[in-house]
Amino acid sequence: MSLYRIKIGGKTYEMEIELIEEGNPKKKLETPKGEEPRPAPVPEKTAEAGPNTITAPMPGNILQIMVKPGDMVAEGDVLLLLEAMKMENEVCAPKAGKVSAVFVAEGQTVAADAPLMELEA
Amino acid sequence: MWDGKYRAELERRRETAYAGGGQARIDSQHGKGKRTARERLDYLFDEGSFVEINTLMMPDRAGSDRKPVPGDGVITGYGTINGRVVYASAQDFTVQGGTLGEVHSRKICHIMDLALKMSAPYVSINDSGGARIQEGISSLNGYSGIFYRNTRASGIIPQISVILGPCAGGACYSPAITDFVFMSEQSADMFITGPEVVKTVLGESVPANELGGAAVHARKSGVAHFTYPDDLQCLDGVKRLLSYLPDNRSQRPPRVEGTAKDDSASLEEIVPDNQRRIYNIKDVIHTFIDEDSFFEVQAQFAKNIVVGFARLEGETLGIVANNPQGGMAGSLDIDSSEKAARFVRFCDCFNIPILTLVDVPGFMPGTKQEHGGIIRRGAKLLYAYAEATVPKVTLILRKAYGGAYIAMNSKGMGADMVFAWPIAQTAVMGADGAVNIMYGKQIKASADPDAERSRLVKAYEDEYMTPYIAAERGFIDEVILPEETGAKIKAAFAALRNKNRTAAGYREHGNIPL
Repeated sequence: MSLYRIKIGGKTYEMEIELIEEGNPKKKLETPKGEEPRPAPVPEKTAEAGPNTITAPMPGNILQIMVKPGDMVAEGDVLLLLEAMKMENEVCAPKAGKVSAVFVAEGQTVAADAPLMELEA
Repeated sequence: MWDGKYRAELERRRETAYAGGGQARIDSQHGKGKRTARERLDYLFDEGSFVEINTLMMPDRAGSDRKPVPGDGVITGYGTINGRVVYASAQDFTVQGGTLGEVHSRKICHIMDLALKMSAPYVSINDSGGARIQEGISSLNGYSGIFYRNTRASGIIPQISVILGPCAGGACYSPAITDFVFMSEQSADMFITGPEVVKTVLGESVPANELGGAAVHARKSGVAHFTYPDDLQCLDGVKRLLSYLPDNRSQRPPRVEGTAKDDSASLEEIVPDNQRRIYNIKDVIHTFIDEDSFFEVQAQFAKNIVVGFARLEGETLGIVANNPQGGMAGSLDIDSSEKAARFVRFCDCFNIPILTLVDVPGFMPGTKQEHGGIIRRGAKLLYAYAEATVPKVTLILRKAYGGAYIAMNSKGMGADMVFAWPIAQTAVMGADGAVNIMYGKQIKASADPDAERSRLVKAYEDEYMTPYIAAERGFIDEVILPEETGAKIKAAFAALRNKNRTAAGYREHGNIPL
């Protein structure tokens, strides 16, 4: 979200502009042929992740997903296992809440900071 | 008998000082769940032991009609904490918002000078609106006097900052230079530029606590070493921390008798021999240290490394340990390297022996780390270990690969004693990576590349992924069984107790890669 100040006919207005979609041809090229684009867009930057988004702490491979959308979780519950650095790393819930979306699938490779899940407070 | 007027005059002046900013402002402070500066000091020090000095200091009001400023917004003095002398200052938010004027800074500088001269710890309680703008450049000069003293006293006496209210702008740099920062989750904020400036300059709206509250500094920035829900719990934390520390660099930490224990027999259950499985290193720490003696530092920041104080049969010990369960696969990255390096240097300043527990797959790869400067920032950890002359014992539990093996207080970096378990793996890298590099062509040329790779990986693991090559070379002093761990570590520190610590020598100071 960016804040702009514009002047029209001597009057100053403050305007907040949010970028909803960015044309990124490079990203489209990365999608392998024949594979359906994933239903949920997976942005590559944290900047696009909201406050309720659980992101990948490091690059790795999704080994196992322990929850599904609609599940209630407590703080510290293991949400998924991320295989990285030859270790089965736990990604835990930073707070209690409801899993509202899961953006990744088991076996998928993710970059650092890639959104994994959405957790509603 | 003296004429009663002398007594009356002193009492009048004392009353003015003790009234601070007046009952309304004191009530307002209490209304926010905060204590006043004097209440905080009374709580921190042993009952009735706090002695205030310079109570009557005030700005010069000659030729002006300005009202008196009691104590100039700060209370300074000394007393005992658990029987040991400590010097302290506490900013009084009820007096001009605790803003720092010239006299205010002179009081703080004076108490710091005393602390340094008497080689006693210094505690600074911060609750201040910042520079007193009316006093202009004199106020800024006041800050520099404090920062200068913080720096000159660094490594000679322990310095502890307690943030129990706002601490904004340049004021943040005193806590930043001191050894430990405590923050109250209820009232503390720290930032160089506040939300107003951030909004004006960048157009970014962010509430104060999201910009620089206790949670942010505990988890993201690493500025806060300890956070607690409120004033009094923060001060309890300060008392606990001081119990692990000596008064100054020339002394050993005090002995505190506790309940020694040794549950090393349970270590085999805690640490899986499947190297892909994670576990919590704190469970390992708790098996052999004195009961309830672990006091973790920066517990919520860079959790892939655990640092903290503990006691081994009554003696303070600093522990640095990779935590496979702490995220980032327990690898070393920028944050964990800096966190551990600063802790190692603190221990080395104050005669605190260091135990290093190693289970590390390597330095974290990737552009984020490389571009963030993992080379120069990871170097701090190597530098800190090599520089430290306190007794240093290392236990390699499982993985110790590559540069991270070197960095985690390896023999070559000056460890006095290195132990390893039979499941330890000391190598340049994991088997998969090594085999791909060494036998890439051979695997490609083979009829069944997958089978060939598996065979080579197995052979490499059996040959190299053990502690025995390092033990044969003397890089590991002894391979020990898990149940022997507690006894071996205790015996090692006992044997190293009188280590001859040679001074840094004739250079000004080393040039740590900052």
